[in-house]
Amino acid sequence: MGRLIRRASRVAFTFVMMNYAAVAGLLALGRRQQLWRSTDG
Amino acid sequence: MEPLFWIAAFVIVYVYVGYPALLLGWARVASQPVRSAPIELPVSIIVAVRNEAARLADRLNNLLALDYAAERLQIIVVSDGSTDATVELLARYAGRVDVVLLPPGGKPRALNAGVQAAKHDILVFTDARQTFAPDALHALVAPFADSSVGGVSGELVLDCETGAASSTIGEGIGLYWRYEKLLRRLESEVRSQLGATGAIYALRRSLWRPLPPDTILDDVLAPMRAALAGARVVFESRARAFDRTASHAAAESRRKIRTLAGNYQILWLEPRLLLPLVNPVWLQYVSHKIGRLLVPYALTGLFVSSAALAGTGIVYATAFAGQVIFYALAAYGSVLDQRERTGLESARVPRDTESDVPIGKGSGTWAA
Repeated sequence: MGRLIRRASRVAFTFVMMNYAAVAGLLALGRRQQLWRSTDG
Repeated sequence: MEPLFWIAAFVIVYVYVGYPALLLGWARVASQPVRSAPIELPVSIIVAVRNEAARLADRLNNLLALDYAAERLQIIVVSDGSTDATVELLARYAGRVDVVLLPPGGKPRALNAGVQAAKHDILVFTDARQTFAPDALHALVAPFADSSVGGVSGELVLDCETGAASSTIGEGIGLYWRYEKLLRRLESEVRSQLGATGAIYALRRSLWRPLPPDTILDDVLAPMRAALAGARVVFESRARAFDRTASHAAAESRRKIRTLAGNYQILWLEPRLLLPLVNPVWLQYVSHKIGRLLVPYALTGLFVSSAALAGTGIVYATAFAGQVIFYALAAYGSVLDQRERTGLESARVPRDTESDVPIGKGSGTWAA
């Protein structure tokens, strides 16, 4: 049971993290945060 | 609140269950097989690097040892302003590897320069971090025997899938990645997958268009342009590349933020993707890529609406309770990840170099 809960927790955490990343990605783009390597290195 | 609840629930269920079910049925009734053949077309492999001295020798040895006729293989390494020993290391491979040295300009510019230096009509893209299986190139090239195929994506195998690594984030990502590859396989069967795996993909040179210098996801933009031009971009699971998962969630999160920002950016780099009469994989694109961008807002809407409606019916109360349990599990997962991270740091285990490069910093290697 403990192993099952641990496994479900890991999957749930990853799912939340990935959805957080979708919002954070949009915000980063909106702020023109540098998500790629710059021309000045 | 009721419309919000049902719309949010529909978006989530459609994106993660309905669309895969639709693809399964679609592939069953209207699969378009690829007429692959064991051909050995001349290929140019392009590896764009910055400060990869630590792992570039292994990578080049891996490429040079591929089961492929040497006279049909050109390996190009583009160094984008490397300041470590990358250039000195590349000098040891003179005659076997073509080298392009550039001032720092970003990965898209490096890839554009690599394509300019390519001699052959099949371009293969990969990074310094991964390794190829010995027969990967043969498998990657075989679908090009079918003239409708303009691009081929190989299969990236992560260590967390094979059990070689175990961590909180690894377990979740391993599951996600298997699910994602199933979708890609089905999308490829019915027409084209949406983008490619940056670790291993190939394009016909005739379909390549220079990348804008600020492109975040070259491995989505270039193949989607090929799809927009009417070519198929197919998934070839026998062309395998291997990579490691990030060791903890913070590193993986940075990678995902970049990927998802890239998915937004693609929409204004190629707005044709949103036009159903222009994009031959419009339904797949909206269901898969746009749907994933909408899910976080749908999750928020579902939580808020079900909380507000919980007292009005068993369906809403059950949905709300289910979400509370789900987010409690996620919080516990975060604790597990933190514990593992603390353990890693106290044991002074070296961390993934790439993963520790913060987004927005210009030093270090490229984020992949």
